[in-house]
Amino acid sequence: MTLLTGPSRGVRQGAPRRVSSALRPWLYLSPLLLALGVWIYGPALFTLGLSVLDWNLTTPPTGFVGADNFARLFRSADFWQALGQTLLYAVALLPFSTVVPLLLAIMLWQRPGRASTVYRSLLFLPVMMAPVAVAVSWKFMLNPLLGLANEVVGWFGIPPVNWLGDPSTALLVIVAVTAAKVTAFNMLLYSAALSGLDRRTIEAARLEGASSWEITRFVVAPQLVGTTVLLGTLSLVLAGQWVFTNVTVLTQGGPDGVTDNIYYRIYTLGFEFFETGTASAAAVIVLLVFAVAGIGWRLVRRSHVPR
Amino acid sequence: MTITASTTRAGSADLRLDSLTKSYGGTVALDAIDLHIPAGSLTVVVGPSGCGKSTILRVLSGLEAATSGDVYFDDVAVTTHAAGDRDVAMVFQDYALYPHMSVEQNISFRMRLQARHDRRSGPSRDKIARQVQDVAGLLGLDALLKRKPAQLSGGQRQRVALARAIVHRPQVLLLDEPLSALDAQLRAAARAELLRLHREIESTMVLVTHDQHEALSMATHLVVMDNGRVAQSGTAEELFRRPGSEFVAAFVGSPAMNFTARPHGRIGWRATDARILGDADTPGPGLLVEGVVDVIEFTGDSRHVLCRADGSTFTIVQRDGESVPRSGDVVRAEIPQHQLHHFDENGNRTND
Amino acid sequence: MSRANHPMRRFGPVLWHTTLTLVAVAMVFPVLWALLTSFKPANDIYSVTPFSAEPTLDNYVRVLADWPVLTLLGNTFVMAAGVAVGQILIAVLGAYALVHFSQRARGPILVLVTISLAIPPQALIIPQFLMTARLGWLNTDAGLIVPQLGTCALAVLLLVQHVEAMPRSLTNAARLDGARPFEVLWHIVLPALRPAISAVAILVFITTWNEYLWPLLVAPKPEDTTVQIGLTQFQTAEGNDFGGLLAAATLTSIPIVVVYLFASRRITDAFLQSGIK
Repeated sequence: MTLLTGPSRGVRQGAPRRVSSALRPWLYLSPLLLALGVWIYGPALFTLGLSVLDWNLTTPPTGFVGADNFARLFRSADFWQALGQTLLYAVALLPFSTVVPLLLAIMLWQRPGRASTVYRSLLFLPVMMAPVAVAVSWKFMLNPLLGLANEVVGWFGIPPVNWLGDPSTALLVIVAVTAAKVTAFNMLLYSAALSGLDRRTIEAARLEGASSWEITRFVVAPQLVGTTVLLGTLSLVLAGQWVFTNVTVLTQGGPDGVTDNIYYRIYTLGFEFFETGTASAAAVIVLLVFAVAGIGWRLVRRSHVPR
Repeated sequence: MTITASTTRAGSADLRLDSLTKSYGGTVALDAIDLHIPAGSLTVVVGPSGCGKSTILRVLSGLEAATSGDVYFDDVAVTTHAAGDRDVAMVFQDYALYPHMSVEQNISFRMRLQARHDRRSGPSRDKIARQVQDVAGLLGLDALLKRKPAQLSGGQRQRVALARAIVHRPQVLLLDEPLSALDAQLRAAARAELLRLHREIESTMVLVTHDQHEALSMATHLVVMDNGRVAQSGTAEELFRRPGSEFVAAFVGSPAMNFTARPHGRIGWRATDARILGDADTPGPGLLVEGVVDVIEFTGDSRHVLCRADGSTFTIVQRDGESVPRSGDVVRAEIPQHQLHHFDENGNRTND
Repeated sequence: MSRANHPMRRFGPVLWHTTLTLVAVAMVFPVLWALLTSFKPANDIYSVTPFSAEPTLDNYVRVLADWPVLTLLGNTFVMAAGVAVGQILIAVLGAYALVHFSQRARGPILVLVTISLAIPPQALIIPQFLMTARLGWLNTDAGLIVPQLGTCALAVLLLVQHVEAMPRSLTNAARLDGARPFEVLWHIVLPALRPAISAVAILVFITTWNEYLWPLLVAPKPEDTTVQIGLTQFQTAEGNDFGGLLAAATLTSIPIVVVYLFASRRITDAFLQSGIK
């Protein structure tokens, strides 16, 4: 459009650029849809399909086997143990997702200042650290003969422990190692929630003579319930995934399958035993559980939110 | 803000909305509107919130498409033309200055885009610089060209928004509540400046406001809207002296028109047309009202006397010099016959 | 609010500092100990004292000689940067389209994006691996980067939030100024998104840098793998050389930790934003 001045100026004549306007959004969305379709939803469907086929990765699939893979899965004791362990992990990590980070966040929140900022930066560090490096370091420290851990417990008169090799301690170790990162991350989220609180509600309570404990219990805690529920739920659902790297590096699911969980099982079935069918069946079960949990979550939220 | 004479002039477009409907999902914002906005006018569209006045701007600008009906600029149907194709400029209520660009870049953005779209016949860099300088001079922005919007005051931002809109001399200039963000004191000055601007630039200006006082004082053409329809359009004087409906009568003018019930409809009369009668006066032909004084508001050059009568209230504006009633006094006032407005049960005007 | 006026002070200063210091040490300890041990000579590595009497760089020398550290760091950097850039491209284009083009598909697409967050990666790795192998992308940068673009959901959701937060009048003004949709994105939306984009980039980069499962499957070859996998391979190969192993572990961790200590505010903000979804 030219910038002439004078009466000949007018609206641009001719067809406006409406030709590709219907196509345009899809152009912008195509990378997203491609990424999701090819690398997430496609594989998801593929997994569903694999669960009902007889196929190891090396030779072409030999045919439809229906629920055979699932049957085989349910017959193996390993599977049920892994499932149970998954629950154990979920429960064990729960306090480290909720109570511990909450306390830390409250402590930091009580005394804002330079010290607090420094502590917060340090406390958040586990999220940055390469998980393999951390795991390797722990492996070193937990060495039953010479490791630092046994040296230290030795000071208290406790005999050396085979941390990673003893079924009774292995799970605890995995939980402890994973707990650091979980606590660090959730502490940050609680900090955010706390900084979003209206300080005036606390001042009002103070004016009414409430003690520090009463304020925490009746004013602060109720406002954090939402965050806690969210983090708790995420923890229960994702605990098994969070421990994955540590299990792989430190215990490989052992000893005696004590540190195994359903996610690790899928991995070993698929990539160590090449039982793709069974692995996929396990994956499908996990997906189903997620789907049910997701729908349940949706229903709960709908019924709770006043409209 | 002072506006000095400019050298370039541009044309203006005659705007017409033909049976225009705009609905959002289930709600109808504009209901088959026929509206004519004369070329070169300063048309003010006014009405209560939700009446559709902002929607008219959006449809005129092309930012939103009409659901049905047509939009004409100088008899050319622009209904399907995109916003950038219509030679329309707009000053948004929040000014919408691009925060990461300087004042100069904000003003020149449109022309820089044109230069890029049309490398051969688009504006040259010199031309762009010149026109930016011109408009900056016109609106007193020369010293601010390098600043970013965050460094400007509210009034300065408004001027930049105006500059950005008029730099290329659009045929149509739309303004969405341009004065509502300003303090009361700035508002009067800004009003005058807008009027001067209108004289200078010749574009058809369409201005939307909820303030009827602003509307009355600025419009060469006034449109009152109610619930997605045009209640009345014409000059400010027409709408003030001969409101076509109770709605327009009550909306236009301050204080609001008073109404007295009648068997079939109501009679409306303006607070300023009433004359308080002294005890000795005899009422002439016209309407006689009586009531008890409730509250008196002093406005500097006059008094607003709020009175109660049979469960309703009315207001009389009394000029200085007349005897001052007191709260609790019984008061009688008369309104001459020719200053009465008669309305039927549907709220429509019945007298000439 | 100054400390004196803070409404709640439950812990005395001694208790406060002690507790937090202890926890902080606990959090930092593994990497800290690895760092300290890496400077100890071989006969000393299991000693309990933090600092050796004869600190040495032998471990590092050995690691750098035997282990293609720089190659691995380079591979990891390429992967992390590639995924970050890729996800941002996807997310910017997608978020813009979802917010500014009115279409009926917007709702369903957002649902698809959100759900993809909930799908456990282990359920997908088998087909993902097969596809990557089929494409001939094993042990390549492409194989490391492209499949991980599928986890762009978080980036998309975060950017959608930010794009929605922009006042519509800005993009409307640009449209009126004659800007075409891509120009609106480039000139108006993108500059406003700059802080959000850098936050997302940091988030994705760090998460990808620390990724273990996918590189393990797809790039097992020692020269083509990432530092995380390389470290475990080092462990398998050099079994007992813990001095070297911990030196390697330190080298793996240090880059991000150093960056973090310089830009901790920026980084915590980035993670913070991801949590508020």
